[in-house]
Amino acid sequence: MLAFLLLNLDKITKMWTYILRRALYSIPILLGVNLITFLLFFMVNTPDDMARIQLGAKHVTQADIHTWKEEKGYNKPLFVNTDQSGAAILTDTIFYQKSIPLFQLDFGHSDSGRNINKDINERMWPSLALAIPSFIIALITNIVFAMWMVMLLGTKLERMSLIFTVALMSISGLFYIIIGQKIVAGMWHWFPVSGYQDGFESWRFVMLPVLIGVVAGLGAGVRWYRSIFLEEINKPYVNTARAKGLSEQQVLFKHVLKNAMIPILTGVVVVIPSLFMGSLIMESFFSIPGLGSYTIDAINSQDFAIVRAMVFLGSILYIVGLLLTDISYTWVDPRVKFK
Amino acid sequence: MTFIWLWTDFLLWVLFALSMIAVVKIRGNELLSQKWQKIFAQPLALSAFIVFAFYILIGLSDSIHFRLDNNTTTYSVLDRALLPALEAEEKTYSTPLNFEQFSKEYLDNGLRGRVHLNLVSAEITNASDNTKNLLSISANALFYAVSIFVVFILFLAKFTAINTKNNRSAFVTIFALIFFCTWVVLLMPNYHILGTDKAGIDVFYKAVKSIRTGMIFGLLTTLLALPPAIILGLMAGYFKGKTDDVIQYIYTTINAIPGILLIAALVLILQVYMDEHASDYASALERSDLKLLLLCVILALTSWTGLCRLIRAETLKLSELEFVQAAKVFGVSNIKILFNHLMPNVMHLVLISIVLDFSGLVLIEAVLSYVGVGVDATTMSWGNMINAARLELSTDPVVWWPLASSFIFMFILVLSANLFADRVRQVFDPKGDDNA
Amino acid sequence: MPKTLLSVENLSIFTKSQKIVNNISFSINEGEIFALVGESGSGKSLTALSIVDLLAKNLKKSGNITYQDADLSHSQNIQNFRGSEIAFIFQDPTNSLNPIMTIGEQVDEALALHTNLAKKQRKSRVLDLFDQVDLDTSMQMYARYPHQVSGGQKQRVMIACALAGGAKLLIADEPTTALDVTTQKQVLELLLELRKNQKLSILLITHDLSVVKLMADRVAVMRQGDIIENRDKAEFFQNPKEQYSKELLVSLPKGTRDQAFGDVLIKGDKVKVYFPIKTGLLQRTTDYVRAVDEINFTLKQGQNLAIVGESGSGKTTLAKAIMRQIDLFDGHVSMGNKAIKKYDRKSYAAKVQIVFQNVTSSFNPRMRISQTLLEGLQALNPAQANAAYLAELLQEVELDPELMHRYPHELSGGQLQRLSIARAISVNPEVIICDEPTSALDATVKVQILDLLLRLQKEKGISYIIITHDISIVDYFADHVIVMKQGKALESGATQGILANPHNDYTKALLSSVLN
Repeated sequence: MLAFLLLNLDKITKMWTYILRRALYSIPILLGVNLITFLLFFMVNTPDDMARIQLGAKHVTQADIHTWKEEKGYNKPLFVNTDQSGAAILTDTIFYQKSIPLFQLDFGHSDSGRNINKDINERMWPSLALAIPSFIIALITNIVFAMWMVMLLGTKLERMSLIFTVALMSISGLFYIIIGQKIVAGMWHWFPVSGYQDGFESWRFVMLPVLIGVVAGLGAGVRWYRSIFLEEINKPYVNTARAKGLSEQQVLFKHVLKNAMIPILTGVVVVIPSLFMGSLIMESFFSIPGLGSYTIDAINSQDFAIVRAMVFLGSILYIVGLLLTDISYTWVDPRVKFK
Repeated sequence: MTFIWLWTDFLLWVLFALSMIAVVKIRGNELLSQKWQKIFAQPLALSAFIVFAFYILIGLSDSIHFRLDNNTTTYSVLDRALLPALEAEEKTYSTPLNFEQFSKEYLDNGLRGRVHLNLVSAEITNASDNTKNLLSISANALFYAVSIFVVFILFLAKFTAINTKNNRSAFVTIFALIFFCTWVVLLMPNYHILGTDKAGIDVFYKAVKSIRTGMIFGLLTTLLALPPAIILGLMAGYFKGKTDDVIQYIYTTINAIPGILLIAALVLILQVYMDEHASDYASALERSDLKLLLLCVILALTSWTGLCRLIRAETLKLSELEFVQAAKVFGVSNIKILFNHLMPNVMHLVLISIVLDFSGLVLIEAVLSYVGVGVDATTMSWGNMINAARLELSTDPVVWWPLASSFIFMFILVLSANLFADRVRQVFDPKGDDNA
Repeated sequence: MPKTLLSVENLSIFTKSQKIVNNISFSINEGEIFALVGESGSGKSLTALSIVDLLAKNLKKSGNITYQDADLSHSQNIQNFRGSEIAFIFQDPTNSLNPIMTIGEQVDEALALHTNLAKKQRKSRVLDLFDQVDLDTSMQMYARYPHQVSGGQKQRVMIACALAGGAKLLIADEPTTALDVTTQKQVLELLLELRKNQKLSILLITHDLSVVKLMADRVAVMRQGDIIENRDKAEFFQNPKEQYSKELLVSLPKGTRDQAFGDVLIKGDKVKVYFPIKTGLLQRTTDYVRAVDEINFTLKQGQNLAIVGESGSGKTTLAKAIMRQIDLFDGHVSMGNKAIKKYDRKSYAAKVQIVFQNVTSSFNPRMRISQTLLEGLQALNPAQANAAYLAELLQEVELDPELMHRYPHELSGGQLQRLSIARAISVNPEVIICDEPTSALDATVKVQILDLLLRLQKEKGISYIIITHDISIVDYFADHVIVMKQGKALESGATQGILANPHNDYTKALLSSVLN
């Protein structure tokens, strides 16, 4: 281990410098995201409105509102506090006070009193239980079918499967979900219709949504991978491989597939962190208590704290995804060095 | 008769006018008209386009609204064409092409039975009569269709130079559409073609009216997303440096916010705004129409970044090419370079984007309705139909036709758009994966 | 009696609409180097590809191809021959090697396919092959990636792959065209050596007759799909039969430039163009790429200055600096008595113009030629921005004025080059920088373009700065030469002096590699 570190010290230092630099660049983005979310939400609701919604009761007095605001920290001005002086003009505001903990990844409490960090910790596991198998199975299935189509290039069968993929793409995802639930679960009883159970049993509840997710994404996915393979197969070095005496199949698997991994990686790695966030649609339809359904519920009940936390989390994961893509690129493509 | 112009009507017609201008320009340009001829040379693409154009026609006919002098209802041209279906006041569910309602209920005479539908002729009282009637109407429709088709072919042969042999599949498609029209025209005064929904509204009517909503979603959104995408993309790629940094920052930040969340937040703001200013709008129709329009604006705001990235990348490559360098050397102003050299050479990306994104947007409309941030509940849209119909699947016996109708109409539109878009991309994308 | 190795009979290659190669026949004997010569579009590359069935899918072929009595026409058995009996090397080595495999692995692949050696044996055999092609035989070299070695080395790797399979016939499609002049000679000499030691037969595809003269035993000339001559090399060069062959063989005459020049137009003083290298967390500039490292030059009125160097020498960067496309790091370039920085865009553009290297991308593909020409005129010389003036311009560059209504893709390379020149002279500049004006052109067209430039010089008093790697045109064209290598000027002086008496070893190598 030590030997590995020492031998590659230069490369590792470069990599960490690169990561640090990119992390620095990400801060303005997070700031921007935070600002936008803040602006958006408070254009809809003033703190008074928020209090009214959360308190729920018909006749809410101004005193009740005031108390609620004090408890939750919404009793200050939004951006600029003209009553204060010095730095406090900007710091003694809702914006500043609510933003600081975000950057420490402390999401605080929702407007209805729940502990958000705890919720996130609990709910991310069901999301992952659904998202990771979907991702991996979809990846493998799409690549296999795409390779198969490339092997059939120029034949009539290929032309028909091309049209078939377009047809698959044209069917709404909702169709797959609704029919899937109705027929496969409702009529044939192969899987439970919805719901979730932690631990070992979770696979039963996750299988149907995974299956549906894979089939729904098959059309577009196969097309995308196919176009990458075709781009590679038209490159000059593939002709060299053929000239050396490799069969079409060998050329496809040894050269095209490996080289195609580079552009595939760019498209694939970037979404991996966002798998945490879960699929909003799938989780709601199948009542899986993940972060996706968490978000939808928050939107519907207009719980700003949760929405803000999820947006922030989502942005961080997106940025991490971008970073991972660049790094993975340098591992796989020997032509790219850390700049 | 007074004409009523909704915002979306106006924009749709503007779009139509712009496309006609574009067609004229393309015909005048040798390079472009060659490419378009190539696109339509593929039979599948041509047929797909014909179906797509048919949908557009329906959408346009639904975009001319007026009021009759003695009436306060606003109609569109399409409404008048489908009037029998619109005005038949049924009470509840009925299956497609049936003569009576779906479930049994207590009739006036105290027995349980099925109520006869208002629209269907009272003479038909049993299933075999119904079938006979349907068959005879269909036969008539076929007869008319063949006649119209023959006239059409003769007209083409005499007045135009179009070769009838090569475009076999196109003619098959056209015949199918003609037959569809005659069949609908003959059936509609007497039957609910796709049955009725819970409130007794003709399902076929709803599905056809939803075409306009889907069209607007698909076309208007992209149209609205074009200006920022093109301008910022060109600027970022040409000027580079700080301009590029700022623009990249903008679109990275927007992209970092999870899409649905951003849309949901913006829609909520929209909702609040509209609720507060509810009295400003003349009618419910205008209000729901405005919401549709603003929904397109919101979607455009969140989706322009994709095209912007592509244009930026292409502009970066283009600005290194010698003809741009030459223009700079000659002292041509930056604006002229952007407009005359860079923009025309990225338009293929814009075109591909327009056709590719269309189908995705139509599909998204359904999803948005489900999440609760879609179009107004009173607007006819496939998303609303699906949302409402979803729960109906669990009834016993199953009410399947509203769901099936909306999916099928949506599928055909999206499929034809996708097939056409595929071909456009094949011809216009310089990389071109298949051998075009 | 030499044994026939490969026999091609009545080979035709066609697309759906036309015939590209027209019923050609030829044969190659054992141990022979057979050169197939022609200009671009003659069909010679396609002929080569068709032998190993590597044509693009939209091309069809007909005819008989026999290799040692085996019929190669059936695509099923062609694979048995690829790599093992018949090897192929491609023109552009940069893209012809798999970028994510090390060069050792790529040669190893050929070995694994065609021999029964175990892994360890293969490794040492790879190094053996490296030795045969004059590559460094260390494991470090084995582990290098294609982008880490030079063009010449990449081509050697390709040759090693060919040898690995034990091929008897090597088909080389323009193997040295993309390489620098000095490297060209080395690679060709390697091929000659291999032919001698291993009795390797070579089908050599090229457009460069000096390569043919060095290498070939027999020569066949292809023109627009037909073989018009097929002879012994010596006979061919002494006595070409066809008119076309004679045109190909024309070489540039000696220069006859008069020595009277006017005032100094442009002067470059200790010109430096450096590009910063930024490293570290805060991206600080730690070092520089010294693209142009202290160059002095003078251009007088009526004089032609040639800046010669290979790729990477900095000559194009210098041209860009003079055109103000890049800023100077240090030093001065002045025109008249004013630093060129001080001129505003339009007045400088009216004095100094450029003809770019890449002719096809010099014109906007979506604009007609007339539109492109008018655009420049409207910016600088609006009074003359009309069709009549354009017609005059086209006639000046010896083109039919009707061509101005065409689109760039409808015109040939030579025509586009002339139009590029037309665009440059349209504003009556004093100086024109020509960046590799003849590299992309066929031999017959080269002289025509150079003559055109000289004629325009006489008529309009233009002075030229010509950037080139082709030292053969320097003699004909230039009065003064600067030889650049890695940013520095190795030699600078009057052409005749330098050509006759090069001081620097590098210049000597450049001159000696001119195979004429």
